[in-house]
Amino acid sequence: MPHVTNCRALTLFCFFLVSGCGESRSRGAVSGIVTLDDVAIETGSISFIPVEGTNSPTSGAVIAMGKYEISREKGPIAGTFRVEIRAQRKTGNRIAAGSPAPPGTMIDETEDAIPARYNSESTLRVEITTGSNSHNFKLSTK
Amino acid sequence: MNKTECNGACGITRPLRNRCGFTLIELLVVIAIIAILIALLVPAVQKVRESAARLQCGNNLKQLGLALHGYHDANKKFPPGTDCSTSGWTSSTPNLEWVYFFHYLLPYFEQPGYFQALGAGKWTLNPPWITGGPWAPLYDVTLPVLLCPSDPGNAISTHASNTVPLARSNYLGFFSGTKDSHNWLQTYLANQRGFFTQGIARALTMMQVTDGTSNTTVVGEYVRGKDIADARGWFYSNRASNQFLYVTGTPNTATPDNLISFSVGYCSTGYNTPSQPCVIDDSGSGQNNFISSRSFHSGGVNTLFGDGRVQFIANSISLTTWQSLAWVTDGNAVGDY
Repeated sequence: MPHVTNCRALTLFCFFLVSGCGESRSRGAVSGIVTLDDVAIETGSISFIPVEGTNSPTSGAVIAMGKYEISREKGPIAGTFRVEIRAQRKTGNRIAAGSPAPPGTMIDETEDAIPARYNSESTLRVEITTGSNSHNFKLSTK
Repeated sequence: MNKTECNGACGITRPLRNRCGFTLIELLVVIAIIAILIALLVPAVQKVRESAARLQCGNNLKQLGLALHGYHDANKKFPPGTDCSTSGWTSSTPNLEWVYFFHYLLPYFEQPGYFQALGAGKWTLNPPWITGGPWAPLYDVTLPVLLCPSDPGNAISTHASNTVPLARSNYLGFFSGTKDSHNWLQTYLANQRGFFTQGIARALTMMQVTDGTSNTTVVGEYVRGKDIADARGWFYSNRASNQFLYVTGTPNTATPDNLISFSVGYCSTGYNTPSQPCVIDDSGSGQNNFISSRSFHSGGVNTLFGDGRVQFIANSISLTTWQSLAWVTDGNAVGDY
């Protein structure tokens, strides 16, 4: 009989452990590799934006040396997401910095390195599930 | 005599040992109990400290809400987001890009001195990064009502302003659209009108907030940056992280804030951290820049609504709900938050 009681207590304890995870329970971790014309993107950003019908906050990460990683506690909640990937490259020109830089400040001009179909007019969609997700993106400028 | 007294005090008679006191086990038990009590107490004290700071932050927002309503009572409309109409820094003299809605509210949160120093509503100064000198009376002046004690960042920023240190803020207004070009050119989508926009003519009246002020977010929390040169929270320029706050991402999102880079100040080396993630985007002189509401509170951000109430919004709020709250005329039914 004492043995049974112990077992019950243990079950209850386990239940508390499992149920204690709260908010991050339905979120998913996401990681992967992003390349543009088969070259890893040196620095950039990736964001996961919930499409209509997906009740989730946004999530994303900085892309460094082609890799990105989102932890589960900051990840998206399961559903369908629009993916926007951004990176810039220098054009080689120098232009005025604009405010609030002191007048006369010059900076390198940059432009979007990634076509609009991968960011502002993105057609990339991914399914995120609870747990670990791996999504690699092979982008092309053509 | 001595022995009898001792036995009486201890209440226990030990015939085998003529000694009064605790055994080692008893002492250890007492110490263990005290240790457990302290272990329980210390995290509780830490949490109380943070929750007190969070309340203080919310109270500051409430003051801003009262000031906004005070301004509306006196002027029959809310203050404009910023003075500039479009592409402010190339045109007018003086350049009034620096004028933020805070500056209109100064007399309403009891900063008449600050208000006078800036021209008392007749703004005449050029921006601090063009003419540093006339801003001297305001060097190092901080506005406690704009500072959240949870944020370890500096209260002033020397950023890019000819070494003029000026106050910064943990609270920024929600602007129309989802990126800087939307405000510069006023080309946001029809249903993405935020409470604030560039231009005096675009200041809202309460009647124009057709979704209802109680369903509209007005001012949100943001972070003050890593050090004194960090531009974040320095509310003197028409840029994301300075004057402009958006609902492009949900509160404290892992999506990095998208900032201009020029020289120093915005997302310089070391400024991208887990609590303040950022990435540089100079394309189109910064037209794609955006930021999302951020705080140092665990689990969410304080947010001021148009009716003057302050609510703590959880990080897990859905993007749809978060955006519906910020757009003032979208007519969307707002979900749970």
